[in-house]
Amino acid sequence: MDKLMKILTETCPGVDFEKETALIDDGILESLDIVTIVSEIMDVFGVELNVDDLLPENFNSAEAIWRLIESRS
Amino acid sequence: MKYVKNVLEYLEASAERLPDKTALRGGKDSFSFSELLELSRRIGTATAALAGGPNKPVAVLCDREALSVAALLGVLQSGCFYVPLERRMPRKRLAAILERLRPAALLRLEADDWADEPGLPALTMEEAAGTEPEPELLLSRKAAVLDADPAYMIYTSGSTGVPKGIVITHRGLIDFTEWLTQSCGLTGYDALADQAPLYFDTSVKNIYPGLKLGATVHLLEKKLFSFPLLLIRYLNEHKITALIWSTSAFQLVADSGVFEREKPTSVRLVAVGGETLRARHLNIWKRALPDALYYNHYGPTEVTVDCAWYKIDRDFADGETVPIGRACENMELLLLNENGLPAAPGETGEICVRGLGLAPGYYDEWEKTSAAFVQNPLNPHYPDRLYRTGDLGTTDGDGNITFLSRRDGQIKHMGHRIELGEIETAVCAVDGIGQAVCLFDEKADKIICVYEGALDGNEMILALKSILPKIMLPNICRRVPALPRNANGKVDRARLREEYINEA
Repeated sequence: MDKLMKILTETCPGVDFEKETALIDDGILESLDIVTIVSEIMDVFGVELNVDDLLPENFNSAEAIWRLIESRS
Repeated sequence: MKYVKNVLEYLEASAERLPDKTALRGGKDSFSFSELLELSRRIGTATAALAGGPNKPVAVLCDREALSVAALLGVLQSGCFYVPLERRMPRKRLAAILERLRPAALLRLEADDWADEPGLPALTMEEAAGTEPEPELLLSRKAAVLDADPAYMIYTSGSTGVPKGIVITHRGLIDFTEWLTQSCGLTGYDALADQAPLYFDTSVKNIYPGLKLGATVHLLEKKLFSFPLLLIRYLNEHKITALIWSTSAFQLVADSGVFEREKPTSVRLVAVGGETLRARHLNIWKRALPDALYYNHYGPTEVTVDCAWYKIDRDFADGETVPIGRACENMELLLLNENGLPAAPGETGEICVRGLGLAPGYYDEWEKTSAAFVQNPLNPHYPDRLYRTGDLGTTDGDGNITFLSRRDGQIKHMGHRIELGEIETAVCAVDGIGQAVCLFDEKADKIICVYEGALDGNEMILALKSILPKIMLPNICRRVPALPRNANGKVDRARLREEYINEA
């Protein structure tokens, strides 16, 4: 989880990833950020994320992203 | 054919012919052509009262919503020209633009926080939309606008740190729209899906053909480009037939791998522009959509969107670059070498453009205007304007031009035109930062900032967020005790490039 938090805060400094639960719905993460985050996750965690995983509900919170990574490792 | 003098005539004719057809769909709203016309007249009446005019700049803080497009058209109804600005832009940058521009009025959305400023009358689009239209006022305003007068002005990154406003005329916009609709064979039966924000001129390529032809334009939610599966489903559900997009959006969809799961079912035409088109991405699309027509467009904002086009009529191997082709109708492209003479076939030259679509120039920037818009060196006889794009290109044996590189520090990052100098100026303006240099790693599409100063990378980015739009924030920050310098004491950029960019 720490590694994920590092990726998130480096991509979007100043966002409270511990608390936010509507990262997509509130427009906090933009497509640019998603692209960066997804490629960092694949690099750092060595998991394959595919187009089926790219759904808003998987990116609304750090928790949801973490669940996604765990389900693919 | 009737002579069109003002782009609003497109909307008026379509509203008469197809009053109930959907003109725009985006955000919470969907407007028919007659509704859009009525709305633009209401907003135009309110804007005219606020701004005076005609021919004054009106800033519009817009979003990807149908109401924002109605506001842009409303500004045209008032006889003024619109300056579309991103409503989420950092406040400092917005304040700097407004201070220089001194717009006659500003339109914004109700949802935005706004503190009224003396000397800048502001109104929400929602309020303006409730105004009773005054047909006589609008008629007199429209009559005062010549086709050589501005329709819009778009800001683009400036190398000295200040964005430049490019003034575009009704005439240029009409000329462009006629060319685009004919060259792509667009008709009123097409359904268009605009991907670009309204402050980016790629959106012009959807909005105005839609108004002219009576075709529905969908303003795609930004979110769809994060989640490509939802994007394809949207295109299919709404039977979108033509994608006139930025090259970067086209690439993003190709790279997402979405076509392995779902393919567009109604798209017949794809036209991209704004960045070098690599055949690899094109080939991914062609495998998914083999029967569609593909076009590569090229043009800086200064020529009214585009000045060259290439209809992709042959196969390209993955490693190849697709040419930008030949000049659009009523345009001429000249490749001039360092001596100002036409480059021989195969020789590199700067791409220079002549034609009606050339912008009159940069707003309040006489020097920058005369540096970029020059007398055609091949014509000593009478004034003949040429726009120097700063792009280098070469012509192949078939007469098609291929873009090679930039002459200066301008880059294309995620589809946006950015001057590295503007980022450097912003970085140096941050308290605690000394000297800074920005480099662009084209392969990785990353902006690298190497700097001297007291802040770490995260602190610096946080500070920059209030000055620069997100797209201009450095992706990699490297703090160094001292930047390398050459014998003249200037920062040694070549050495920094060697050190920080893996060009192999």
